[in-house]
Amino acid sequence: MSGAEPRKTVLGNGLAVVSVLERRSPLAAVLILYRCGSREEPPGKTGLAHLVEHMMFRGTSAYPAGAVDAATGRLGGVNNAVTTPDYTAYYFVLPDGHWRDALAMEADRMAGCTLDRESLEMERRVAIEERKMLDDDPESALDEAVAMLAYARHPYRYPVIGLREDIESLTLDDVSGYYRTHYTPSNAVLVVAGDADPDEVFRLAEAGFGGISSGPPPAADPPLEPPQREARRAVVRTSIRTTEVVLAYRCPPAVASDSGAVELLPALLATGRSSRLWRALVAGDGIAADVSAVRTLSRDPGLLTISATLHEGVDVARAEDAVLRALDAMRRDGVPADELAKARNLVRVDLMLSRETCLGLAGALGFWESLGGWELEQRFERSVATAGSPDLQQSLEDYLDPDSRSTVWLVHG
Amino acid sequence: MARPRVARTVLPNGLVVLAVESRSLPLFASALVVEAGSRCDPEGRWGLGTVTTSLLLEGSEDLAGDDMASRLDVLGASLEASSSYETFSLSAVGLSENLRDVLGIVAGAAARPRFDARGFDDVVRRELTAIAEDDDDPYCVCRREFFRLVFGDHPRGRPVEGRPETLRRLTVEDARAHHHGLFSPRRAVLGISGDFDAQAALEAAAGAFDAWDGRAGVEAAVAHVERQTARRTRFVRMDREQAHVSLGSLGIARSHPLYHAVSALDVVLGDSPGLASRLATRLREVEGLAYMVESDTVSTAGKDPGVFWAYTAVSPERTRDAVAGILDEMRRVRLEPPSDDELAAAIAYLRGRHALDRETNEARAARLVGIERHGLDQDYEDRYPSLVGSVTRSDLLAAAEAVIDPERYSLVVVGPSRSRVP
Repeated sequence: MSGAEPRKTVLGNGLAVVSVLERRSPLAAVLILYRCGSREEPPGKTGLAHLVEHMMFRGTSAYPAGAVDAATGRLGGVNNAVTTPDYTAYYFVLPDGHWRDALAMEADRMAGCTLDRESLEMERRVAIEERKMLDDDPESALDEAVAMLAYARHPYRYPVIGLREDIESLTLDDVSGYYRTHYTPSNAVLVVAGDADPDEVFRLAEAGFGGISSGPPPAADPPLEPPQREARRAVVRTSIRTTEVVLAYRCPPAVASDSGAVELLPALLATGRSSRLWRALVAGDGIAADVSAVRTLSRDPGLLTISATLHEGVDVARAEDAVLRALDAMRRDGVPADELAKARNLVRVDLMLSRETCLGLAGALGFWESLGGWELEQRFERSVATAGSPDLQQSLEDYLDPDSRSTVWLVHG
Repeated sequence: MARPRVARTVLPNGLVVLAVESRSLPLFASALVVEAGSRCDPEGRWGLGTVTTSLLLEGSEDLAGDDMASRLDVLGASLEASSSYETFSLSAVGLSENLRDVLGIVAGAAARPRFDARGFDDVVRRELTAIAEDDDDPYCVCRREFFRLVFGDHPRGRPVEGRPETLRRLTVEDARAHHHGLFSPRRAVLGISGDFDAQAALEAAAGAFDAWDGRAGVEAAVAHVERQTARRTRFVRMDREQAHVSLGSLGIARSHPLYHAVSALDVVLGDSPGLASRLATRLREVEGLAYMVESDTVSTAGKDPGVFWAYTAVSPERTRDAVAGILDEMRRVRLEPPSDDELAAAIAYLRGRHALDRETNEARAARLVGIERHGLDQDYEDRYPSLVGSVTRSDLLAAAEAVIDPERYSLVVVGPSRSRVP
């Protein structure tokens, strides 16, 4: 990480505040991350975390509905929010010292959000439209099918947007209960990154958030996912003509000691046109138009997902075999040192690019702080940089086990 | 915070090179943009520009395709080819210590591509699969049909990527000839932003691109487009959960004297942060019709006029309400001048977004090229805040008159039968 070292303080109510001064531009990002996402939803309440996120924009007594967005525009910035399985984050990017206004708005929203029936019904309608939008997107249908297949018990099994029938039945009690339980200072991380002095950030954070009391800590972790001991398979049939194959493997949580070695696997497999899967599936009379490999960095064990979009008329089984052969070869023959160095370089650039903006910087600090400390990011980067061939070989054996994969075909019909 | 000075040179072959320093991370981004685009596709050979540009990544006289891919990956760099209506682009990102090497690869791809038959077949197959994916995506169909409805037989009404039947007609010789006619340094601009000394970056670019043959290239004459004089509608049946609605008309060119006023008008109507715009407030916040509502004019304003387009996706049975809501807001923005508060908020937002739009090397490289392409001075970035700051409420009304017509518009609906509107 370039520039100044991040600094951290923890307020008396448990709110962790991380700040880093980066004068690349006159901008600063303010991000508040609550350690709650769809992972914390009770059974039958999928979509709750996301609906609460929508409700946070319905206003407070100080900022009525629409006021936060209007104020953001007047200050020359942008704001939005994102709900993930592991966390819900609200963010602003603002120029010219207006990050101070964002702190005030977030403190107000944490202290007391207006949660009423009328707003809930309005946001439920919008959330259902969002659900329909994803229903129309075959990639989303595929992602949802993969998660449903790969997880049997853990809430990662369900889409963040929620199941339609759950969204329709969520109540105001559900929303206010989730908000009261999870939207507390001790369950949150506040990050300010960019053109903002950390001393002033800490002072204003204390002034704005220090008086908000934390309730009891949220309930225990969700059920553990049992080990997967058999290959699983599903077929998603849609009206679209695109054919895709996805192979998903369980991979370790972000903070695991072998996390860095695992992070190199997607780069080896599918980053760049010299990657193994591009050469095996796409290049030279290839059977696929595109191939990708993505590892989810998550609190609990996540997935390493390999996807290929096939040319018209290609047999899906043939594509699946091609992926498996490439994985077998890597497991059997290992990864040469120069290929490993290439993957490290690609991941290194990718990590730097993800922090090129002050929001990217704030997002990374907030994510790692929510898992135990922003310094974990540096440990993760070191483990990427130092992972050797034996570490990689071990990861291949531990995680890319042919008997514990989940395979989904997206086919027409 | 002082803005770093832009270094500029013109190589003997005519290539304009611009470089700006950004010292925060050891990275760079470059954008080589050739003035051509799908507007130069010959009749019946739509998609030729897209295929030709994609072929540049399949190898050069210096490096076979596989070797080019390996070399870039070893350097930790990425190189992408893209096409638009007006331009072809090669965009690279990498470690600044590798700037010279990566620019060498970009120059080889742009100036001395291989054009071998196998690479051509691969590219065409990939483009055909991408078109098939887009054809199943109601958003893509809605946008494509909207441009077709607004522009008719004009080149801007054609899909940049072509259609399956036009791609199947192409040969590798077509691509070679298209490249020979259009990929000239005299019609190209290279922008570079990153962690380097700007003069050294110009020298690295000169070393890489000096050998590019400076032939003049072919100029494409493009017909003028008239504003539509009547309402046009098109319905495309796709059995999906939502109906996708596009509504709008011919927009403006980047050189339009009201460009900055139209930028502010976009913010007021449909391009504000979050849900602050009039369209989002009405369709999402008040009526709860849609998750996504937006409108925009300036993002398609190029050397030729683009479009004013408003877009939303709603439950099929609410399509009529969505169209009525968009038209109401279009009428209102022409009849009721935005308030002083709305104007002040739009100006503040545009000024702030100006900084946001230059946060990455990739964005800065693209802006260097855009400013050069549109004949603006490189001090335009410094003047921008005062240019948008001088927009008045009467400018906004004039801008609305120029781009928004709630009577003579094009409307495309893509969705199930019940989303058809009269």
